[in-house]
Amino acid sequence: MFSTTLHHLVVGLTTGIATLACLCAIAAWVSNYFVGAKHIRSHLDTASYIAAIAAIPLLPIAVLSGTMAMSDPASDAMSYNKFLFAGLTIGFLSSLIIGRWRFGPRVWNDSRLSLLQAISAIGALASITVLGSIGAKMTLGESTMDILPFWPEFDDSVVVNEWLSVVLLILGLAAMAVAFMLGPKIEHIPE
Amino acid sequence: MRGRTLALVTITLIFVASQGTVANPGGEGNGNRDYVCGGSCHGDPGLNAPSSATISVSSGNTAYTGTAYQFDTIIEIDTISHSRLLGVFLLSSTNGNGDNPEDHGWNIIQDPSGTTVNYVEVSVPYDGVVKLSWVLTAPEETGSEELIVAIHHGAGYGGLAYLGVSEPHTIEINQVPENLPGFALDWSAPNYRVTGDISPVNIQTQNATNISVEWKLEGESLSHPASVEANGEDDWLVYLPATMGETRIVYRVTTSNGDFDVIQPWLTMGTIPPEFDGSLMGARAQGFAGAFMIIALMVSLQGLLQPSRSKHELDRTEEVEAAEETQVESVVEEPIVDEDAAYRARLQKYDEHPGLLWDPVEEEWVNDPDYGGDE
Repeated sequence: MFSTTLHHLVVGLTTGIATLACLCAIAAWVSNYFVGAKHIRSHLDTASYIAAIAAIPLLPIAVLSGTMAMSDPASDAMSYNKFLFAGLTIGFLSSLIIGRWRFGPRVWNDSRLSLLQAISAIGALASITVLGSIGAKMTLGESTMDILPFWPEFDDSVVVNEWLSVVLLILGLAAMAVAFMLGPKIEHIPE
Repeated sequence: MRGRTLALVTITLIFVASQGTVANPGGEGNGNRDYVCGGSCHGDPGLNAPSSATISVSSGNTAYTGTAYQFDTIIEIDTISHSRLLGVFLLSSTNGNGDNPEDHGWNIIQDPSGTTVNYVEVSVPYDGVVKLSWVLTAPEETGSEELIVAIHHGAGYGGLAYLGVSEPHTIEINQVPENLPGFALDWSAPNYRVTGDISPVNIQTQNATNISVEWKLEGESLSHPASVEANGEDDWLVYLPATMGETRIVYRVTTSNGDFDVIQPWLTMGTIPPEFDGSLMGARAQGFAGAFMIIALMVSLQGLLQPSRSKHELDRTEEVEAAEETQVESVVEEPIVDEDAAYRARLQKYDEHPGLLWDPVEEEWVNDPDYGGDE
């Protein structure tokens, strides 16, 4: 019972903070197209950066509390999809933070990098929306996203063999290590 | 002060708004429920109103103890909520407890949704007519029994729950003629089969020496005979074709024993997808794999898309300055060192001319720098 309550609390915090991070990042990118938005872009950048960093530790807590709240987690397509989309959310949010950390606050001034940051933010926002929609479907039986005609069915999921999942995990780790260690040297964009 | 007033008004508005949304517009789900549903506000007299729907029952008024009885109801409703959700109860009383027909000796073999509950929620079609059927086993005791249909639904955006109750439908339960064949009292019709499943459906009967089964897909008019195999006394295996997707198959059993041929009600069986074979460990691994791959992809793209360094390459002030410093030293000192060494190497010393060295190239005497004197 406590897990359910904790899950509701943490999910509210996580989705709220992560949504704030994504929306601020998207707004910071959009601000490039407006003259004289330097100061507001700086505020949006800071808000996005801090909110994204705050959301990252909350996401695993939300997943763990959700797992504890369920009698048989990942035993149906809906809850399985929650794990997959939680992973995607962590990936996109982490990419947003890493990009900001590596290039600094001037990342928004470079057209290509700011677009990449915006794509990370949009990806994270979409994943969070889907996560929330699945959660609403599971608990309330309906979601505000039901009004969309193209909203996918979550009664099905992409399930691979357990060991293949572990192989994919190792591959993902290796890919990440290669990207960090063997990729081009990153330089902070000067002020 | 103004801020506090604003906050107070906001909080009051939130409380007032919450009063209008205490119903369950999304429904409570199918289940076994008494007339006044516990978790809903529909029992609150201040929050409900009579429904304008018409509820009629078209079933017979006679049943035999322990045999199947089909209860059909038609609900015509003109005003329904935006969600078009209608909750329908099959009851034996409206006391608020012990209302389920199963509390009165009935056994629900199948409800309109294919399960075995007395409360179902349906979506009202746009013509406003809902036809529902329950298949039950009649009580073991003879006498008069009543079945009642109750409904509740929303309408428009008023937030009120609308309730409707049918007239009691009286059924005379007669003693079953001896040796009347029918379903076994403890048998329930299967609700679903897995997609593509061709395994036979098990049917248990009583007093039957033979059964025949006909089937059709829901909505079809033409039925087909099914293959039946005896699996023991009053135990039968019926081979129905496999179904896919969301197909629902309906079938009707005729129980026979030589003295009687009893045509049983139509039964419905849905189709469900195969059992989900995911695991918690697999879900976690797959989730983290997705996270790491996204990070790897985005980090790689960051490296590829980072600003070109051509601007910095053009601006080589530091390199030029450093190079200039190095160049000064090399231009001035290195040739001197080299020329001096070569110059010294070619000088020849003669003992008869101390303090002097002979330069064979320039053919002249020069002072020996290593000599202490200065002649």
